[in-house]
Amino acid sequence: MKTALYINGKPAVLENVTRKARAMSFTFAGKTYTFVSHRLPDGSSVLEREIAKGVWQRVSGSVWQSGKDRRIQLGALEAKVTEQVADASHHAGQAELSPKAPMPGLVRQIFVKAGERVKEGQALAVMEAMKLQITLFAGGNAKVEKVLVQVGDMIAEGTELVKLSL
Amino acid sequence: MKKNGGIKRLLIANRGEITCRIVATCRAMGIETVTVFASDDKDLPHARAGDFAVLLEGTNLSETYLNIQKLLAAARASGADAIHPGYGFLSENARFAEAVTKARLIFVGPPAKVIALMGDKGESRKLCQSIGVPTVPGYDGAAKDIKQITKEAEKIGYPVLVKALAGGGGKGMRIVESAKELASALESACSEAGNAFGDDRLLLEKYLVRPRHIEVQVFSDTHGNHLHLFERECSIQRRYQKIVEESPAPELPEKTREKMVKTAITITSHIGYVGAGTVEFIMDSTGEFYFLEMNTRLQVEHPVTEMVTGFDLVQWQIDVANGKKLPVTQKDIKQNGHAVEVRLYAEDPDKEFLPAPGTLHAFSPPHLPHVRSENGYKSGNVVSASYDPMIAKLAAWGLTREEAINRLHNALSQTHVSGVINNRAFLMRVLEHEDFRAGKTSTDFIAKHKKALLEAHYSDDEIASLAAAYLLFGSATTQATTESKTEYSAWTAGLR
Repeated sequence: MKTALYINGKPAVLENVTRKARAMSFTFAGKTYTFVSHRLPDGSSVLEREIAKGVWQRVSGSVWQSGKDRRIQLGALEAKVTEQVADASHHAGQAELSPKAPMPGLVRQIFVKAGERVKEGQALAVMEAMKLQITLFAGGNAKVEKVLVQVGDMIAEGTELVKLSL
Repeated sequence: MKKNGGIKRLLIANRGEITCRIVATCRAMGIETVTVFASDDKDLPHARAGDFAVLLEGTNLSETYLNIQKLLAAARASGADAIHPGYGFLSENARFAEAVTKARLIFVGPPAKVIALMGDKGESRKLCQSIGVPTVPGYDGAAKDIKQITKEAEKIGYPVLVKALAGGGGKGMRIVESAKELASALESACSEAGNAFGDDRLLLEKYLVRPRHIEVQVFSDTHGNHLHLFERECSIQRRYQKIVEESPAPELPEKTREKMVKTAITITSHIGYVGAGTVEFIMDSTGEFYFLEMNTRLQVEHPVTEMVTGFDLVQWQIDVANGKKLPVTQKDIKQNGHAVEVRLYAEDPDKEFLPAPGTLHAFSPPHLPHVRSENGYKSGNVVSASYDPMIAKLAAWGLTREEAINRLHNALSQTHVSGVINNRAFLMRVLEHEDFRAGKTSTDFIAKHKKALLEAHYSDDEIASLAAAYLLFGSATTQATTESKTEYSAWTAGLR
């Protein structure tokens, strides 16, 4: 059986995957790996890798959910793991016409009103979280369709603040 | 235990790791502490770190940690005789210092008039110029005439930086190499600033090539003694905020160090400074340095100075507030070995270091010899969007710079942080970077090495381990993802 994962966005294909309860083995990059997890009396678990017959390497860490991703810390290592290709529409740096909140936080200022025309790069609103103020700019020359938030609103990451149309 | 007066019960008007740090010194000195907390901070370590705790009701900072009246009322109600402001919040607010003193409480910090003098950036620059301390050459006049501006630029010397007065995010900013580029740069910067901020006023500043941020820790008492505890290098910054600090500054010529600490003392003795302070300088690639500003309080990065000099700066602050003389003279202060500190932030290096609030499922820095970790949070706490995103700071000492960096790197690699996106791995890559190892630090370090610092390079064995961890503990097929209880799974022997 094959399992394809994306680790930090890079594909990793595991082959000959076998899994029995808390143990698994697979082939990766031409090498065979065996791992086992143990549950301890205190409720925590240990992940061990068999590096030679009868020799087990112990690693600690955790897995947690962050948005759509699973994040892993494994000793010194960290990675974002997904089971499908990253959504191509979420390219970093790609400017959107109507800016979305890049972080959860407070709406501090709104500079525009519905019906107004704005120029590319014009400041539309200011958000604040954790002492950091971020100005959101228009992604192009456009018309303000609607202002979707109010000063003082606590908004989630990804919230659209001002709806613009070309 | 306490003889003839002095502070007996100290209220700490702050939160997070610095509150806990100050409590630790107070415990060692036999001073009782009062900690304050906002209701959304009730589960954080600082809320219960002291001998007494006072809830500051309200949801806005202006109702809690920034509310002078409530803090004074808390001091009165708890019987505190002194207030330590920590850093940030009201620590550099002259009105607060004055109100504390008027309420017949001891303010652990400089007198209000000194805070006011150095807190005004323009005023402190003028003051430094008047006593011969160099400041970054610049022009902030409102001239619109291109001839006049060209004259000013020539006076400053090229390259010059054209900056929007309203400032921020690099909008309206231009580096101008020569006079013939000036007119077009002014025109475009002007319209960009106008668009972005609705304010097209510009200012000129000398553009420093590969600048380093180096600061001097100063200390003065009420008996006219002005000491320094040498320098700290804080050039590794993102968003103009420090994330790696060290002492001594690497590759700093002894002559420059001497001149710098002497300059700092010139300032503190001229203004009659009292207490702990930091004089910040910016140094260009030729070794010329200029006064930036003075912070009239304890700094976040004070541990590296403590580790290298062996003194407790919070204890000195309290001693000075009690009217005592500084316990040593200048010749007793030596730089012994090297110390490096990193700030662990809940922020996403992949998204321009934007804050990443959330619930900290697990946080456990290791306990190792010569490593200090000062923590604002513990496992289970929420890192809220309302406050600074610093989770903790970790510092390590070594006989050599290399040993200090290695110790800090090991400590970071054994620090378990789970639940919030954070800069731990990024900081490890900074400490690994060959230019950092070589002491080639400058404020453009992160921008310059961005690609290398953001990318993780893992071996096949490491990728296999990450894949196994995901499949055995974390995949959607292993666990439901909707319930919060199952959104986190940790494994280790004895994970705290």
